[in-house]
Amino acid sequence: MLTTMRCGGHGLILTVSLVAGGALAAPKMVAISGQAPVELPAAPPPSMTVVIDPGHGGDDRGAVGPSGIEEKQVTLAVAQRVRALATDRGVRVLLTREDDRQVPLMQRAAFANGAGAAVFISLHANAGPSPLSSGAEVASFGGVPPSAIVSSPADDRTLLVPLTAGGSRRVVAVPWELAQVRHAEVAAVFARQVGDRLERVAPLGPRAVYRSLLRPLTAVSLPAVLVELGYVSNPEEEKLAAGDQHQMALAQALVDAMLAFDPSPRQVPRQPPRPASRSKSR
Amino acid sequence: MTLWRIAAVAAGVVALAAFGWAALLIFQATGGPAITVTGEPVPAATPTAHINVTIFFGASSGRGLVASRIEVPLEPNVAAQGEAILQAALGDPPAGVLRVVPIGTRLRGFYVDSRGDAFVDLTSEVRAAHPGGSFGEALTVAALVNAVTTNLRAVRRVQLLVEGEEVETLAGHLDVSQPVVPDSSLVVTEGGRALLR
Repeated sequence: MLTTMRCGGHGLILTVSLVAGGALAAPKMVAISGQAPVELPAAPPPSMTVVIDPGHGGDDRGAVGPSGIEEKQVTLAVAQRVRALATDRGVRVLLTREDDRQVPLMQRAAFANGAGAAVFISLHANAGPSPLSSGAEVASFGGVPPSAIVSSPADDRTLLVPLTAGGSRRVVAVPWELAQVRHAEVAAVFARQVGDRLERVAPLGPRAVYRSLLRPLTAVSLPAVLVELGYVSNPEEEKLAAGDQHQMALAQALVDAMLAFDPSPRQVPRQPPRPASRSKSR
Repeated sequence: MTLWRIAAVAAGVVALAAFGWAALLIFQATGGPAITVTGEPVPAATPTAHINVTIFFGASSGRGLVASRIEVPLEPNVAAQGEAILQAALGDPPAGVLRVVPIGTRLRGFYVDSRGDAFVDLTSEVRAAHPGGSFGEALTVAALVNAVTTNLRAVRRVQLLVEGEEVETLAGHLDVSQPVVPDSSLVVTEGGRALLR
């Protein structure tokens, strides 16, 4: 399990490696009225944990379509469908919000970092100035990094944290703004896989699969992608986004992508070897 | 005889007054000093030089930004020129292209530091009135950043501020908490050619 906390003012994530919990595989006890509790067969342990982040919520409605469909409604509805479908396939799905409430972006990231999840998927519905914009899009962190975003192991700081039982534990402190940088390549692979699956149920938009400096992903310390399910500013896609059938198709595509995802480094294409550096001095 | 002399003098005065008025009108029309209602002269308005700058608006196809050439006053320094460029970017778009900066957004300030980072301080409407969507948000940011960096060679990055303060995002997606570099990937051509006016 990963434990994550934010140090106020310092912008650090403390990542502590602990033993994976077994509580999820514990058998369920149910009591039917007037009878002794019955032990149900234990469900198979979940193969993986995924955090789904329904974008916006509460006062933050996100984009609003011409007929009034709100982004925050679409993202929550699809997130709940993903959870229902994925749970049936043995995947443990956690949502960053269960209802219509506003959750700060950093709080969503902190939740994901403490969940021991394999991937983080932030769901959104898009909008643009033209009603003609259309299509789903998938983004991962990167794109045009400013010079400030340069991550290396040297950015990490090792701290000794005292334990309540005595002694201390060595933990790695990752700068808050750099948490996603080290997962960006794996996330880019996952983004392509999500794009491939989504394309089977919805056309892809102007940017299709791309990389950008997206705030919902910045502080997430696991492979993370942001999925735009379609344009609610497009009247046809707004209607689709509010419909059960399309929401189920989108949710199924996301579940298929997460089940096919292997976060091991071998999926990440290697950079071609650099030629030996030559001295520029003349 | 006396009556004739009085009439001749009166006619002369009227003629002189008419000549003087006509001369005054001609003088004003040719750029002479303006006369105020109180009769006090004010400094002459010097003709203002203008330059064409590149401003970015939304493509009607919905696929990105298109570049438009717009005339703005030539200003004596980078800060004032930046303000003029941004006023054009915040203004009404030309026919055939779309607004990507929320209506009502005004410029509070513009300055450039010694590292080549420009700071664009906008009023709260840029967030409060933003229609949302990561694409729409990306267009807003790129339109402002690209307008500054394309026309002011001294500027490499742009930090957006809202009401004088740094913000995480404008609409919940794109990270603008740090200076942003220009993004030409969002600039598209329409009909096979760049829309340059």
